Amino acid sequence: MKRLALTALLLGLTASASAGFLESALDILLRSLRSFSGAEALKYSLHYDLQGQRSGSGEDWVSWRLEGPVRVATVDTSDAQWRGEGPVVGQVVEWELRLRVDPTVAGLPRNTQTELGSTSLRLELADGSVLTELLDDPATPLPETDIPLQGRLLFELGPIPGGSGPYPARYRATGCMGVQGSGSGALAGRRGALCISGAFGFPRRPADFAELRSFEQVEAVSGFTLVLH
Amino acid sequence: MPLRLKRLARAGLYACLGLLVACSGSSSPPGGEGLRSLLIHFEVNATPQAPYVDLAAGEVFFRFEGDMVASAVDPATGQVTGKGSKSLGRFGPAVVGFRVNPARSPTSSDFLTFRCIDCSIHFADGALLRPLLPGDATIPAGEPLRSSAFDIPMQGHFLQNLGVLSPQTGGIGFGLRGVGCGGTQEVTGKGLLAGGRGTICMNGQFDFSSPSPAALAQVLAGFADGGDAAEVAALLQLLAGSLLTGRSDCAITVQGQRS
Repeated sequence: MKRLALTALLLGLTASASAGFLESALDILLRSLRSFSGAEALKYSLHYDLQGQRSGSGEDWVSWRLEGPVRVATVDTSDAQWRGEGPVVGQVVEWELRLRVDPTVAGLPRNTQTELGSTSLRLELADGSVLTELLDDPATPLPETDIPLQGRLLFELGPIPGGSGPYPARYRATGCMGVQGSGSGALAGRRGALCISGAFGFPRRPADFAELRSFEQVEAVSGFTLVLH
Repeated sequence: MPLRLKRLARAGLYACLGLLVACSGSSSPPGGEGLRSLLIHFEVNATPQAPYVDLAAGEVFFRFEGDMVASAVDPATGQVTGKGSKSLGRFGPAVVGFRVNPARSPTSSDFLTFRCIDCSIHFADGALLRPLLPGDATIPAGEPLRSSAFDIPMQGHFLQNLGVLSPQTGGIGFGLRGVGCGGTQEVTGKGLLAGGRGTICMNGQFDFSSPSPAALAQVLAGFADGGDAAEVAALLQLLAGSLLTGRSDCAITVQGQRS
């Protein structure tokens, strides 16, 4: 009886604490909603070309640590064609991406059975801006703004035609994530979102996820839009 | 090293990298060879769409339609400076559902999401983009390439957790950031995207004309202890009860058949 009462008391305290934390986080949001953000949104059209090394794997996941240049993705205003041909304006210093799949699937997973997430990002732009993820920090007691990468690897679209070089087997990748700016450039102190629309390249076509997670090296190439206010 | 010297060194490094890349002569689409990519800018207005509101599902429905042009980008910096002047066609009609998830806090980007129910994009060059609809047995005339064995559902998120913005259209009300990616396919075999399959990703803003940010805050405050049906209904009413517009730069990237 005493044990039951103690359990009930502990559960009650835990629930109160959780509600308190949630309310505090919400209070911060509600305060921010009562006035407009004064900053006008800054938008960018960019492109990355990254080389990656496998950094870990498990039965249903594999992660890669990527780095490489970021350049301007230009647009032809007559027909909207988007090309990754501009000058280098930054560098992905570190980006760890994690692919999680349904391990029970035979062959490569369906589009809806892949989750592409991000566990760390540092993107430095030439103007001194530094972009990192906008995620809740589990080490702090109050929840922060949490906009994790919600991405997918789209195996069902099939390999992209015309692959060559060390990573000829390329598959589409897509998704959006929250980012925050720091440093000394135009994006310092701003928050917003980054949306990718590109591809992952592998040394050969994998038969299944077990083979895919065995690849030591990959590449990631993508245009992306960046909007922060 | 003093900070200024560090910045100079970094700027020099990027300039050198820029020259190397320029010399490599790359002119491929942003996702690499074998892909066709567009970056468009759309500006759409919404009208209420039957069944208007589904209280049980926590969803409200709109029909969006408007103009689209190319995004204008500064080729030196990558900053999106505006939009092109030439119309590229018509964005929409796009039937979209906004869904409230009361199990998530408004501080989460999973609290208010959106999905594409039936979306069309009509390009002036004859291309027509439609959703990937597996098992669709009612393929309209003029969409011979439509059938698909798989789906890439739109995963759209409102970012109310980034705060409210001034409406881009001016006037009262408020703006909320909206982002998301989903599947698409070109179904007529015409134009730059002919027969391609791939994705569309928006990174923009929705503007709500009538309620004030304070009214939104008041409704969201009701979700502090988890929302009930009345609070979900109040939020849906707030969303549905105003004129709604949307603006976004939007990446469309496809692969495959070109006629």
